[in-house]
Amino acid sequence: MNPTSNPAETLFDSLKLELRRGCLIVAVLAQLRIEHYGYTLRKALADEGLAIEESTLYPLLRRLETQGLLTSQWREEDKRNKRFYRLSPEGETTLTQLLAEWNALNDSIHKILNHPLER
Amino acid sequence: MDLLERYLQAIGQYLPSSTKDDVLAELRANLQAQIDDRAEELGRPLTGHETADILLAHGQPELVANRYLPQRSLIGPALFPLYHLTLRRVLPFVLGIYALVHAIPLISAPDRNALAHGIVDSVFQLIPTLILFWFWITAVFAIVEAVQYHYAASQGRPGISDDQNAVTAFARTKFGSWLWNRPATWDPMTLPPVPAADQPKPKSFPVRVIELVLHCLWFGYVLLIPSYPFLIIGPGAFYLRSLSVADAPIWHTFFVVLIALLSFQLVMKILALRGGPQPWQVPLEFLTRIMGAALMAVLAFAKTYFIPIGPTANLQAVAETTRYMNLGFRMVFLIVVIALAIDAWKILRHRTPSHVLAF
Repeated sequence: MNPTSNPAETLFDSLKLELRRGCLIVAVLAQLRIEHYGYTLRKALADEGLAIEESTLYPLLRRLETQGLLTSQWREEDKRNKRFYRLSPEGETTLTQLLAEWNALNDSIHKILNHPLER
Repeated sequence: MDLLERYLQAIGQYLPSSTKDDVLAELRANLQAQIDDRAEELGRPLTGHETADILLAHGQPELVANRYLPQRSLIGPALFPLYHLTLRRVLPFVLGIYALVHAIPLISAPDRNALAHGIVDSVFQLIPTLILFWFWITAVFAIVEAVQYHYAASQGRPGISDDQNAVTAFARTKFGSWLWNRPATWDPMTLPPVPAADQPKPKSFPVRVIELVLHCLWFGYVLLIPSYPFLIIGPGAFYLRSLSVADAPIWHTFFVVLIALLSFQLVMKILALRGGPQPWQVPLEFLTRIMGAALMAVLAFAKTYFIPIGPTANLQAVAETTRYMNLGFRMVFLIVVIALAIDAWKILRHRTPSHVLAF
């Protein structure tokens, strides 16, 4: 526990972390419509403004594969063996559903924010 | 490259063997790509410290490994490495205290029979003691975990990260660092070297615990043999009794030295629970093998194994039995010596420079 941290900042960081957690899975699934291995996937996400720690991303890839949302294949590239991931057919269906849910949530939040405040 | 392998070796210590190779191969590919990328940016190979910075950013080995392990509900991922380390650190002390407490009544045992029963009881009481030890350590960590999570929830936070965990923060203090015997801040440059490919892999912690328990059971079994000879020679014990013979003094010498040897091995197995590099282990293990061979030599070159104790003793049968036993012990001794010579060659081969071996 960092004694110098501001409680409000700590709370914000925790809530941000929680908010990002679900979004990251959608982003990873969306990015893996094209095949990537761990490092290039992380770079591709960072290039799109979504930096993610490798220690979070690499275990997440394995978990998504175990859940059947990704498929993987060991292949040699640049004389090195790498594990390439891509979205599975089941993952594509799940991504479509998640995006629909995400859009619906987004619309709802916009509606709430645009609604005149009742007093 | 060497530093990366040392880092992967450290992570591998905390991974189950079923997924270890696969996880490490994937981590190697990703980290190597990151190192290559950075080297391309700089236009030169990375220095050791630059590689260490990449590994430092990737995370402490036990925490990285923990993210690849199944989710645990009782003790969370932030606390689990310390829980695991605590079990490993405290176990040798528990075993040492247990041995001390049980040794005192054994020393004052009135006779050999009482001593043997006392030791067997001590060995079998060890199992519930170990279960109790595991239960209390787990309970303490589970309570700390639950209290921290409830506190985090009361503050409106969804959970606790490694940075917010009071126990992991305590482990980074000087006292915590001493208590858990690990550096307060992690530095990749201090990682232990990777052993050569042809050297035997160090035994995992569960394997070392199983070896200790099996050794205790074996020790108990050996101690029962003087009271119950049929445990080792089966129906032959009843046959010997029918010959009206008693054990020759050689067996007493043999048994005392055997108990000393088993006690020595027991201490070594307890010390081995600490893990980490133990340069004393190979020479001491080899020493116990030499002691074992010497013990067998005592039997192989003995002239008498049994002494007639009455006028009804069948001297011809005793002589025949002695001859066959002597032949058997000599054969066992020969096998032990050959095995010892092979092992000595293996040890010397690892420690002898290759230019000496070439000629």
